[in-house]
Amino acid sequence: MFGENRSITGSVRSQRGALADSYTRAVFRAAADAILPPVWYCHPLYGWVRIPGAAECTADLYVISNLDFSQYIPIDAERPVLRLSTATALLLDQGTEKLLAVHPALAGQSGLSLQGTGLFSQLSRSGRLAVIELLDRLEVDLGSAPPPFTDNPGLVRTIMNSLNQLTMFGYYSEWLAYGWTRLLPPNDRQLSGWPLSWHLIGYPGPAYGYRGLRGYMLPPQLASAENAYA
Amino acid sequence: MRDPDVIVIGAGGGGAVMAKELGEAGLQVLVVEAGPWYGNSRWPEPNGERGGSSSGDPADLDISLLRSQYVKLENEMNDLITGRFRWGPADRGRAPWFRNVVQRGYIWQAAGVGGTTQTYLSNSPRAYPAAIGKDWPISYRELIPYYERVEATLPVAFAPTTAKEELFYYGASRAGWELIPTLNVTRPGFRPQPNAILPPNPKLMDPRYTLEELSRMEGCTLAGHCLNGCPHGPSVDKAAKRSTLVSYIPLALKTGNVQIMPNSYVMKVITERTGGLRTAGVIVRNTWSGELQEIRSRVVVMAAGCVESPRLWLNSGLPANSWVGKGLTNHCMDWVTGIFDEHVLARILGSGEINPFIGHTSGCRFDYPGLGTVQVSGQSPGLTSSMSYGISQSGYNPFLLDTAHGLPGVSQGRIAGAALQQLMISYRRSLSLVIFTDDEVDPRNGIAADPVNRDEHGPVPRVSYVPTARTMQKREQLIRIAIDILRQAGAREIIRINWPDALMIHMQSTMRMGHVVDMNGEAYQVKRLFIADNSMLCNGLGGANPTLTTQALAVRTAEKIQAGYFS
Ligand SMILES: Cc1cc2nc3c(=O)[nH]c(=O)nc-3n(C[C@H](O)[C@H](O)[C@H](O)COP(=O)(O)OP(=O)(O)OC[C@H]3O[C@@H](n4cnc5c(N)ncnc54)[C@H](O)[C@@H]3O)c2cc1C
Repeated sequence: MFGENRSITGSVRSQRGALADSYTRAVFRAAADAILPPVWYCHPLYGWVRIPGAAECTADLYVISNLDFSQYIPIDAERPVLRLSTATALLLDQGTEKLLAVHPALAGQSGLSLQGTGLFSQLSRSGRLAVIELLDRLEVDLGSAPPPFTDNPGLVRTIMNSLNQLTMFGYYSEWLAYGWTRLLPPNDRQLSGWPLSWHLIGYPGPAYGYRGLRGYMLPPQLASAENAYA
Repeated sequence: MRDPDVIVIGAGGGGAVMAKELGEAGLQVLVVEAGPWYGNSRWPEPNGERGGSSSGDPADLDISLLRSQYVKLENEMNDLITGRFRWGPADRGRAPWFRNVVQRGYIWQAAGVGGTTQTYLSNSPRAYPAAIGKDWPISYRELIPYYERVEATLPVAFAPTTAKEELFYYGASRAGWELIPTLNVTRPGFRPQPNAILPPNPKLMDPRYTLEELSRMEGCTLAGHCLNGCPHGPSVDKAAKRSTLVSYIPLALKTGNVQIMPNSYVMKVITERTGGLRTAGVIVRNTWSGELQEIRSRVVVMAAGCVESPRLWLNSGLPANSWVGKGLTNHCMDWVTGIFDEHVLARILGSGEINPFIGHTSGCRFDYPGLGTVQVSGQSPGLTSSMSYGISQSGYNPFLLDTAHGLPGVSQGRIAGAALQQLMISYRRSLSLVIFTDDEVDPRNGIAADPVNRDEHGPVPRVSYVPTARTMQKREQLIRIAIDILRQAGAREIIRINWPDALMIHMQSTMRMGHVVDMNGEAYQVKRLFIADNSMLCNGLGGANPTLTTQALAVRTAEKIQAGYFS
């Protein structure tokens, strides 16, 4: 039920990022954690508060599911296609190898050394951002990059932006407030309150309106404009 | 409807206008639209089940349904992959439709009745007259009466001022620019946006009415959801933000001559040889069932947008033409955000916050014929973070790790880490400006049929855009102006994100008038085949938002169709 399958009307697929393998999960958690880490913030009312980062909020699952759901799968594909999320994880590790070849001292600075999580997730946060940057500059051999990145510089760069954008969109949109339903297909999600991020930054959520009118620079009627061309 | 007079492909910015105009002229029109129809009682669950096959009755339009579907939540509405406003089939259990974008970037369009105008900001300026003089076979003066008709029908009005507009006007005046109170822009200056948004309800500031009550009455409530989908108003046809879903589509239905068939993707334009080559109809594929259907008509209008119209031409095997799909312009956009201190805002605005989510998403602009546009844009937080700080072609901001000192006055590039959280904490004190460059037409840019990749509709579009050196120069000049406006307004920190050149939000000129279609909008090589979307524009209009011009041309082309084939 959750696997990728194709039908006459195009591809129907799972978007359950939770089903990603543990290696892919570890890499995406590490990326989300570098892009939006936990921070301490001095709130005007509550004093110092710790704001959880994107990985703690599982925004990495949002990134994984969106990448995989958007993946192009040829209509006539005969073999299962490598998931875009897994391909991205492998690419990040390829970039890490390149970074470490030049700066070996950066290895394993996260303090984590878990089996099967790859090199990228063991870098420090700034090391992980440096890998994304290195891939952005295309400083790896794209001939040996995993498909669909093989010899595809535009896609490599697009996905490096997507890692950032999707982490942010997962964290700062209402996605988190779908609670345990957040990984279900969109029609089945149920909103429960507002996400933490909205409380933090003061976004009031969907509104009926605001009494924010300050006047008009020109009267609304277009007739109020000069009509120099008439 | 069997064998209509005219088939219109696509119910978006251009197609809806065409349908209304032809319907009013008494022609039988069938609009075939690939995406869903929101706010129509024949599709109570537009993303969940197939629903009806077509509708032509204005009584089917249902504002309470639209309210329950346009929920004003950015993830639900704007997620480009699973949101209601995506380029993909109504069934969100299926993947979006794929486009192969060669460079770093992506395409932002929406399928459905209303097309991409469902999510557009409604900014409806006319083209800069100088840009029409240049490449076009028709003159600016000739367009004016058509502009006036569309402006009156949508209708278009100058935007009201909220805090973000006030701050922009303040910065622009201090930067030495003047108000240009005109629709025909021949010199640089700032002005309120001419927006296709109903003016605010006169009772908006009257506390005796609750905001919820006001949202069910006529007029904009400054709710700030232009981009998320605006469901405010007493009925579908009186909703505040005038996407074609709520403006031209209801008017088309009122003629009694227009049927609209959503969830129906045109795979092929059929032709026949009678004298010369001419259109005979289309082959349509239902996006829920995959069923194919052939529908014949005397005239076909392509209004499938800047990517799909050329793709359809190519996939239909229509005659070779070296300009089909070529000459894409996209305004080579960029984006810059200013962060303000509370005391600075208090002095200028009388309040320590801007609250960019209040008011029209974009209520004011700066025009510079020859260079392009700078305009305010205030969005919900997920979109703000990802568009202001998440996407760049110059990598991470080099000052990122210097959190002890914060970013310098002006810096460039993507933001991550603690600096990002810090910037978002200042969300309510931020002002973002977007720039649209007067980019050059270059035949190397455009849409081709992908030689390898196919989807259920045939070869997918392969899209490529690399700006010319002159375009890049203009982009830099505009960004400098935008930064100066923010600085003059008192911004403490300014982040220029440097968007990828191939981030495509305004796509134009891939089936240009004078090259693919003639002055009447009819294809040179296929008689009775017309185009009425952004693809037929000759260039990027000098950097002015494109939709109003496409709509004005659709009115004009409708006249030509009627005079040429049905009078
Ligand atoms: C976020 C955003 C904000 C914007 N803001 C503005 C703004 O303020 N002002 C402005 O002028 N412009 C704005 N634009 C651009 C604006 O949306 C487009 O200029 C406008 O929608 C173009 O109209 P169109 O008819 O060319 O294409 P669309 O509006 O995209 O319509 C094309 C329609 O054709 C359908 N279609 C495509 N292929 C097929 C097929 N084969 N069979 C059947 N149907 C098909 C599509 O589903 C779609 O409904 C914005 C765009 C975005 C993404």
